[in-house]
Amino acid sequence: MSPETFPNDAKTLWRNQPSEETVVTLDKIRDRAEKFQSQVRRRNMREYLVAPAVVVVCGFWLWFFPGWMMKTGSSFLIVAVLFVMWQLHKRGPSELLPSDAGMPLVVFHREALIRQRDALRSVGTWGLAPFIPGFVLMVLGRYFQVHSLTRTLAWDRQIIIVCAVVAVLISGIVWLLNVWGAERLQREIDHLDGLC
Amino acid sequence: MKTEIQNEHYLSAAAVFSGALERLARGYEADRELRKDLLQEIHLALWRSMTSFDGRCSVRTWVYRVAHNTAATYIARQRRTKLHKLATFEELADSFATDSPEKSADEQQALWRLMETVQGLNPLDKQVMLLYLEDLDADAIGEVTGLSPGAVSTKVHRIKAIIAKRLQPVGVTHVP
Repeated sequence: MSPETFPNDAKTLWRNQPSEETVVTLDKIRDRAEKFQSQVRRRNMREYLVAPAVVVVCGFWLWFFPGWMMKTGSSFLIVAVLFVMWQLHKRGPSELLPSDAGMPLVVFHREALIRQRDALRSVGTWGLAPFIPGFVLMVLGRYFQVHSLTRTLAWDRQIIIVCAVVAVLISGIVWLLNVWGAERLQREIDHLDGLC
Repeated sequence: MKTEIQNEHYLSAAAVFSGALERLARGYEADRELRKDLLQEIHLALWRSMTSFDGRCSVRTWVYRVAHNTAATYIARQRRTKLHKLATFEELADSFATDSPEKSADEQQALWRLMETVQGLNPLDKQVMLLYLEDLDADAIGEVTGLSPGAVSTKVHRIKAIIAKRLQPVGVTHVP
């Protein structure tokens, strides 16, 4: 350690750290802005391409499954998938850079936490509930109208019930995790409120 | 005409705060290439924000708000898309050694420890610590962050204790 060159002040140490000399010009900023716009365009394009693919796959179910219950259930699932995709698109950021970046940091952070909390709280309504009618009809259709040819009826129905219960349990756990996540975010928001 | 004024405001702010913005980016992102991206993003956000700057706070406050909020958004986005990379000592060593051959080993070690401390903090504490290290007083930190004077004072007190604890082994003893 050389006493004459060694700073004894953490602030000085921080402010005197060597520069990487990254030059940001107005031209670079314009290039960056253009890059952002193309990123948003690519993201939108991906979403527009995924939607028809989902409809084709679910449409195959509609054609493939016998019985009115399973066909109607498949139709409901197609509608549910499209609805959830629309919700994801609507709730996602419309641009990659924050438009309100001049807000005080705590306020900005709090707004972001509120958005995340509300999304988690409502995920049951827009992310899970739309699948229920289609799911119920598919299970009922499978139970009453369509049976496996390689198993006995009783054994087949037991398998259907177990699968349905597992699906309900998984959905329940997903919903609970979201509720707990929303509660954790609320505690963070309350903590921030106490600091202002 | 509007764009010219926006450019003018941005350029004058960037001229004064470019060094501080570069250090701020270092506090958020350990990876050199990603840090360049982040810095460009901060400058873009600052340039765009100049259309809504109405002079109700100082330019310095505005610049720090925009920069920190943009950096926090960037880091959150990075975490969603891939695991956020935390720097290893070797990467930090590489980052500084190539830039500053004249600096002493102790000084570099102190800087690594400081950087490691800053990068490991949660967003709000990181923001307060970076503003503190840029030598903003408690009132100015309160204005940028929106924290109450009591909260700023508590956080600054803790920051001093953390810095003293982390840097004492390498000889930085004075934390103003």
